[in-house]
Amino acid sequence: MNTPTLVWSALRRRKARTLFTFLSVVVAFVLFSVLAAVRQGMLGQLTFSVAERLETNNKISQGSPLPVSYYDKIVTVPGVTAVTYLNGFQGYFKDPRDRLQVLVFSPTFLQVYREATLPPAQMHAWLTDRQGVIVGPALVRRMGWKVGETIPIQSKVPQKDGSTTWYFHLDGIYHADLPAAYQSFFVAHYRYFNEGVANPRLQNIVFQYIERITDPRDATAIASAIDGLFKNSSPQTLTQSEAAETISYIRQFGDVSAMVIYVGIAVFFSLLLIISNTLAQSVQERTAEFAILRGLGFERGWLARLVLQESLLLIVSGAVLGLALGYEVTRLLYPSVGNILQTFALTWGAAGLGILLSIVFALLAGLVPVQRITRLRVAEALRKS
Amino acid sequence: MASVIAADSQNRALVSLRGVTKLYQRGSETVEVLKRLDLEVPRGDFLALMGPSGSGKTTLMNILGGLDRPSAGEVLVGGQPIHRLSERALSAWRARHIGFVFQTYHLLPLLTAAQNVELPLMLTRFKAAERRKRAQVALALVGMEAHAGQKPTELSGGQEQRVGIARAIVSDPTVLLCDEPTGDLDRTAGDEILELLQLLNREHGKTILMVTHDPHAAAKARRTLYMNKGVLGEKPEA
Repeated sequence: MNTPTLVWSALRRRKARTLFTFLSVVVAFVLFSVLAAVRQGMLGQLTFSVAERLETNNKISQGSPLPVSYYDKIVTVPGVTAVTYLNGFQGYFKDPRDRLQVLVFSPTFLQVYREATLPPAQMHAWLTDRQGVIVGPALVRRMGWKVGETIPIQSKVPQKDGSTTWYFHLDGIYHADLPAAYQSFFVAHYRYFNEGVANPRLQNIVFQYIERITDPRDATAIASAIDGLFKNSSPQTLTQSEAAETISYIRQFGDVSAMVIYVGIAVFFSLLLIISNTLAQSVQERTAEFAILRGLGFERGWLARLVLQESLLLIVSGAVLGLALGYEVTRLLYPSVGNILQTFALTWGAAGLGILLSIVFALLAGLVPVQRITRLRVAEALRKS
Repeated sequence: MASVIAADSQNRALVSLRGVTKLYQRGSETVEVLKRLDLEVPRGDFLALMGPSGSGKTTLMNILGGLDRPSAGEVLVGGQPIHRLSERALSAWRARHIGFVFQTYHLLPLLTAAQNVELPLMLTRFKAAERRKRAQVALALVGMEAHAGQKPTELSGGQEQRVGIARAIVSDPTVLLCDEPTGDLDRTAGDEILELLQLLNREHGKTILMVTHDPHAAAKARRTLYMNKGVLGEKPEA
């Protein structure tokens, strides 16, 4: 006979009620996991934004093209150490369901995105291979590719010879300590695409320039200098830091996400209030038992700790299961939302916060019952029972 | 009027009540439940307390057991003035010195008989094995060793009360306070419980105070006192 036996026996007293309360906690924390993943999806990219990186877009509309000829001017701006540019097209490998985005960069890609690393031999192979591609490990696993393999990508973008199949050589697999969304890039050479694409309107254009700078404190001045170069050109450019760019992106759908999160929080706390009420009810039903325990010599503090342990066991174990299920749910949802919220995932930090929240809530939920116990008049409670 | 019920002069009193008064507030009215009560109970006594409902028997029992405090007067058990103890000290004192036996047994429904009996020992320094052993001894003493693994719902009323008595004696308390211990039992089961209490008093020297409505039960005690309107007497009110 020990305290855990008493705690467990109290929870088994009304099994159906305990089960439903437990399930409510589980559901609340599944919801918490999804909300945390949405938040991470919105703000997570900021975490990986690199202060030494600037992005130059078409000033009129992000995503509209810029001439590739701007490169030669941008690279001369003082403080800029490397520049790469980006274009791309949609395609698929064998099965139309295995869609992927072919990103075509200048060979300076690895100088700008230093967080992506690969063995020197693979890097050399890619830099010297016009049809070369480096791919993220998650995509390699999903497609079952091997280094050295030739990969045919079907696309709606025809080549000059009329073919819509683009062949790439898998020269390397990059490594980056970044979330899942960053493990599936397919990085090919701009030159291969630009020289091969049939449509002249797709030639010699880029959708974005990305610059590496020496000192983030100079970011504003450098951005102004870059935009100043094209003040009298068409199109004009808008250069901003990667973080600022991410924030602009988030603002596009920020209000909707905020609403979803606020509604979710309201539902989450409503569920937890119901749980708190159930706990209070459970304790009230056992008033006579608590009076007996007091009569046997158990102190108020001991009984208060007993109730808090019940509350902790019920809520924290429910939270742990809810977070585990939530993790699986977010993994299942990722293919549907990952294209918008690239960092959509339940992070360890959020899971830790969930556990902490469950502990705080268990203690709060136990407050009312504990107060009832500490105010219990033993003689009166025994007489009423 | 104060009623003085003195113990046998040869025995030093284990329990002494001196001028104990208990007042309750019932709305705007103050009710005097116990009226300057004096009582001495020697070690090894088996005292039955009779009286009509509302006469103050249970209140007296609660004060003796440290579950309630007197409005005035002194309560000494083993020479210790328990009315002066803090709430915390009173809990510890109760665990060490008092064993309660209730009319409705009050066993925890999801614990086995052995676990119920072991409960008071959780407040001691005994290790788990020792606690289990002592619980088994207490159950054996009340003839319930064969039912150690059963839950209260699987026991008869008489058996539940035996387990309740085992729980009351397991920590070897100074005084056993029994509130209508046979009130919920039929005559046969009630007699068995009374015989058990007599055995505990006679063979094991337990000091027992028993509140009862039943003259048959009271007759099993060494002596009987009568309470009426908060006053103790040696004879029932005419």
